[in-house]
Amino acid sequence: MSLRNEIAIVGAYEHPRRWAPDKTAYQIAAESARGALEDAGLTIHDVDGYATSGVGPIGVLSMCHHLNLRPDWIDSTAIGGSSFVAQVAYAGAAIRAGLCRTVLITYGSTAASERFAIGTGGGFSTDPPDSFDVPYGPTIVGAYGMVAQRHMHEYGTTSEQLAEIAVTMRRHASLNPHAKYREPITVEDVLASRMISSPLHLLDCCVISDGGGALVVTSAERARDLQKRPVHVLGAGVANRHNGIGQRDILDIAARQSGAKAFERAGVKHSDVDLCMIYDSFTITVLSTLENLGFCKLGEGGAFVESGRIGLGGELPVNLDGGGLSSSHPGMRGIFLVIEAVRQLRGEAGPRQVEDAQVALCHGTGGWLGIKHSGATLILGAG
Amino acid sequence: MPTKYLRTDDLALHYVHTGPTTLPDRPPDLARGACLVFLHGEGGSAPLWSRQLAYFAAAHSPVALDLPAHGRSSGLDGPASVEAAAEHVGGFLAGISAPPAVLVGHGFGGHVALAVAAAQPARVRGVVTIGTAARPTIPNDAVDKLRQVVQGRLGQQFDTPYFGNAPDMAVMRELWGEMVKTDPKVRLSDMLAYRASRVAERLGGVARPVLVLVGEADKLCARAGAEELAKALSDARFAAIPDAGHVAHLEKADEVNGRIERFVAELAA
Repeated sequence: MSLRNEIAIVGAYEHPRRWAPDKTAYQIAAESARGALEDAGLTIHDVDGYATSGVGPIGVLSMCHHLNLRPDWIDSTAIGGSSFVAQVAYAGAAIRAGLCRTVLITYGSTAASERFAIGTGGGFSTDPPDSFDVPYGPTIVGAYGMVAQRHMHEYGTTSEQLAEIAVTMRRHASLNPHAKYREPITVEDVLASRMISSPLHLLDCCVISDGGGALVVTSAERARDLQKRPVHVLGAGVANRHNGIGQRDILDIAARQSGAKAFERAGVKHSDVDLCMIYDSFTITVLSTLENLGFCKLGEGGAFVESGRIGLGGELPVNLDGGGLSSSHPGMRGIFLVIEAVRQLRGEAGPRQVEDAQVALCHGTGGWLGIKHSGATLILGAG
Repeated sequence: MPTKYLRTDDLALHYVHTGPTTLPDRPPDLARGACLVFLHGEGGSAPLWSRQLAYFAAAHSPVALDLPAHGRSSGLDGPASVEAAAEHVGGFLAGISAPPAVLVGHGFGGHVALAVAAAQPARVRGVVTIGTAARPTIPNDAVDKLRQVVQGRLGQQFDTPYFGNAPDMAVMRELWGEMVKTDPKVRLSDMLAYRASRVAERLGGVARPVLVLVGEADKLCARAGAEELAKALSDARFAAIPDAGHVAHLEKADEVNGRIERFVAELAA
């Protein structure tokens, strides 16, 4: 996937709603598609490749029907919340291979108005060998809690350090008028919130919202003729981790592999990265991802996130939109990582703009960290 | 019962009506009998009026609304004040082309109904309040407890002050089941808006007949508070509902419906 400077994101749109009980997931996806195409200065007739995820085994075909599309390339990668990050790379590969020219990626979900218990419901993992665990009641938050527990045991990471991540995301959310929760919180607020799965408190967990978004991906060559400043794909990587029959170190996550590949392909250094968009299903996800991407050593994540380093104005601002912890999390957050990165690299992020942002890293995590999960890394550059 | 959305620029207001379903862009038929518009209380939502909607559907045109961010209406934040809520209700009445309506409000919704009657009298024929006081007395510890729920320090509280002395489990379950549909932060903002309400100072401006109802065993709105409301209004009737708590319209629906029906008949006469 050496796509360096060959592929560009030319349209991005985030649906403004976080609570949309009057809409279906398909409506949200379709409205987002319209928004992203308008942003790109294109029409639905320009789309000859289509990708979506989170729609069930052949839901992508129903979405094609809903949008009245008959594209030359169709994808519905299903590796969890990171799918949309991976799909930008896959769309790029398809364009480069000549399978299509312009790819639309959409997402829509009504998780909040459907009252979907994403993190606490459990019951997704019914394939072997997880089917042997299921009778004992594993949950997503339990899987992430286990990673946090291990991190604390191995490295002495504290709840205060994890809380710092939630506080920073909320501060960023206060600058985003569309964020679900915008009122600032403190480390004490996080620690005083209810324990959901030790050591993760309620405010260590992402929100559940409705929402959606869309992206338009095309060749860098075609992007030059379009209305907005393009955002180039510099490098990408996709990886996974699984139980390995019980022998795996759960602190070694997919980001280690996908991140290394993405950096190598992009030809940039960590110090070149101006901002990160890191999947924040839980505070521990951010800490573990930053370590595994190599922004700090394994075990040093707690100290790394302290003292404002990951806040706006800090050394490595993370999740400027407020992330899943405060802005939105309709179940699969990957697409929002890319959308906010695009806004930042175009200089369209308003009060939460990172000054002179040239390089952004997006990393999506899908599935159950600590049990089986995927990681997708995308390094983007301002065009 | 059919439900619909009224869409404005940035909101979609959900409402329940009776009678035949109409196309999405057409308001329901509201011409039969009196148009009754039901307004829920703090953190409430339209389905809590199911007993009234079913009863009044026979001869009238009842409608129940979810205020923004309540129930299945869109929006993240509830109206910041009684006046803001009243503006939404006024816009809603215009949006569904309602004839001058009888507004029936519960608790906080009672103040909202009175504020609509004061600000937009042409849209209102009469007002019914249930469990609404002139000056609401909301104890600090109730606000603090709800604030802790909002902060994630406490789980949702399924407690009983809403109900009279011998609460029916099915009614309690129905109320709690409905209230969890609305974000507790919205219930908190309702409570604060109700507590800060200045409606009591402007009751002289309400030039429409009002029926003031209160459960005799209401633990959230004392009978004296409702009586004070009735006294301050120029044209009011007062009735206490025996064996009912704060949600008299759920607990003693027959009695409440009968009172409202007689009031509606009086208005028509």
